[in-house]
Amino acid sequence: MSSKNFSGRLSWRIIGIVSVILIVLFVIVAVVSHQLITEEAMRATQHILHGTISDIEKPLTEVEVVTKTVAAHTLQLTDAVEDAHNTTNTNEPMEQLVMHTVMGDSLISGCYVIVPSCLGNAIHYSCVLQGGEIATGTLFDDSLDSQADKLVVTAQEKGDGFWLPPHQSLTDTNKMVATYCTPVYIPNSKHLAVVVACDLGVDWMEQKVEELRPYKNSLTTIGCSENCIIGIKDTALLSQIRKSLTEDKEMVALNEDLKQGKDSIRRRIGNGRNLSFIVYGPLHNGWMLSIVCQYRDVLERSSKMHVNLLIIGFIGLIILFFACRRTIRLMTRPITELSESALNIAKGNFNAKLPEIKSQDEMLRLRDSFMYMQNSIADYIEELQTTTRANERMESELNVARNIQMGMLRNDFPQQLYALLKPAKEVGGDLYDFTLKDDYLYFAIGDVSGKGVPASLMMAITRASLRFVAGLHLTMDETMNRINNCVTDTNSNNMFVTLFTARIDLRTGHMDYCNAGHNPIIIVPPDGEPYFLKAKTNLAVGLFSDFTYEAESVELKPCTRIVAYTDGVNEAEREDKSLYGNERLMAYVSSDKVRNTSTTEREIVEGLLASVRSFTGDTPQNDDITIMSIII
Amino acid sequence: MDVKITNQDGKTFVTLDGRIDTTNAEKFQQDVSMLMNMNAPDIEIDCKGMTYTSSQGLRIFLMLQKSVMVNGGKMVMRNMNPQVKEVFDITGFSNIITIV
Repeated sequence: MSSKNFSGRLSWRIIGIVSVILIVLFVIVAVVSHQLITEEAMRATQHILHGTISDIEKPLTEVEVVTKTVAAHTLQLTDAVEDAHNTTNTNEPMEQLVMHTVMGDSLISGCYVIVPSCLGNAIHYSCVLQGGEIATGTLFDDSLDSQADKLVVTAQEKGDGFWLPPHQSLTDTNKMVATYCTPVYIPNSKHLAVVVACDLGVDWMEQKVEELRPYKNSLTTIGCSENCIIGIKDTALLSQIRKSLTEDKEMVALNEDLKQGKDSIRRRIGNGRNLSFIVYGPLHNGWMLSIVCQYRDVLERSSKMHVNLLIIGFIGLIILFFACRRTIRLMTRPITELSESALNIAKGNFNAKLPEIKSQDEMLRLRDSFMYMQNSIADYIEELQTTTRANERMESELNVARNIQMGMLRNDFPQQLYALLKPAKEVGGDLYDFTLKDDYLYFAIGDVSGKGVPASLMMAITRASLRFVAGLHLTMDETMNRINNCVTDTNSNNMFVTLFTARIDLRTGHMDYCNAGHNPIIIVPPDGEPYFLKAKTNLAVGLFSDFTYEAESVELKPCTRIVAYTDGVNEAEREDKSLYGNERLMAYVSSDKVRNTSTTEREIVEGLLASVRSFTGDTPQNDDITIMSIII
Repeated sequence: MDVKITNQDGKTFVTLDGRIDTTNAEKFQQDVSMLMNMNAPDIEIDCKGMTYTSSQGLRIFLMLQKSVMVNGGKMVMRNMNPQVKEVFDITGFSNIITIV
């Protein structure tokens, strides 16, 4: 079973653990208590058994004593007996004796004196209680003869007193009696004089074993012989027991014990629900008293108690479950509330209320940490918003600056000139300019050290100076000196500008130029290899106001191309830090495309840019790029 | 870019290693700014390990040169590799900085 909330899950787990512990405990208690109860029951039953044995033996002993007393008396009357044989008259004293015996002892229900005869029928003197009346007489009943003869034979065999197992009374077929017989010998002789027998009613024994039920289905029996077991009336059960005495291992052992006169316990009699133990002991006359108790009876009460315990335990577990769940829910409520607060915060509500926690434990620390986090996030978001606003403002300002800067650059190109400028950032430090006046083409290309806003301001100054000085139509060296003066005056930050300025006489192809530390421009003659235009090493503009620049000149043939650029081209970097370099630049300007005079200047400029871009790939542009192409 | 600065016999020795480009020019300027306010004005820069310098780097060398001149000292750059030397030549910096 699974539960979606923490309290439920934890409760189930607790219940699981407690259940296991309880079940183990219960099993131990059940097993131990069953053992103890069983042992106790056996002891108690043995105690009862011994008590009952002595109870039963008392009357038996009494009957034995009486019988022996009668036997002693009969010996004195033997002569009379002899007479009786002869006369066939009744022997008065003998009749008196048996009558007194029956009347004198309430236990004895009949007394017999059998005088064995060597001359025909034995003489029987008997006295029996018949329906409460005393009946005496000398019996010559033929029906009794055979029994009397058997008794005499048995008595002779045994040689001493013995008990006959319960049998039907001679005079009353409804009455079961046990008979003690003792032979009497003629003194100093081995001749049997008489056999005295006394009947003992066994109904009291039957009643006793019937009453003796330590447990509901207990069975108490007195085993007198294989065929006679007092306490069992069912003949089927009787035969079953007889059978088991030879087949059942336990019962065989029991039988052995009895033969040796031992009393003991057999613990595993029967099987299944009828599993029982049997407690047994011998009577002094060889009979056996046994009590069989079924375990389920013995353990009935404790089993009921166990069931009750289980029910109580189960109810307890249910209560425990709900109590656990409720307690855990109460204790973890702050977590639930915190998670709701977290959700609120995640939705952007940074002032979401956090739960109040009164306990001074981990929950409080969690709440405090949470609060700290909430405040930090709120502060951070605010800072971020401020920064973002500032950035946005700066960005929009930079865009305006870019527009202004781009506006400074001419884009009204004549047919023979084209230029482009790609800043690495919004604004850059490169510049170019040109002007056509009276068959003279003036042009300039420059690069301020660094890039971005500082470079762009410097570029603006340089651009303004250039425009101003160019309007004076001075020589190139003078032009550069003036520009240098202007820029140096306003340069407090040690920035500098590399600048190339030139004037081409379009009629003759004569070019005056001055290079202030700029990359050499490339000349592509119509009938030769392209080359870097050599220039004197002048200092970059803006460093020393008293520096004197030197100008040079070169004669160019018609249809010569001039390609000027800034170091953003030849120092364009790829990801592996390798540079575009002069070789690739020279390879480009040597291509047929550049040498073909019908290619437009725009195509040449854009072709070079594309070549640089294909070299750098995805690597961001690291410096401003400016390219200018001129054909004369 | 690694900058090592040592003093010996009243002279400052600087050893440069690596590239000076946009990404570290500012740090390089911070590293050498202490050299501009020193009583021992003579500086000798070993450029053996310097493989590239951008124009920002040139500017910093220029600032260093100017401060040395103000303090009445001398600045010398040594062991410059040809590519770097070319940049110094083109921009005309070789005219104002002593390169040996």
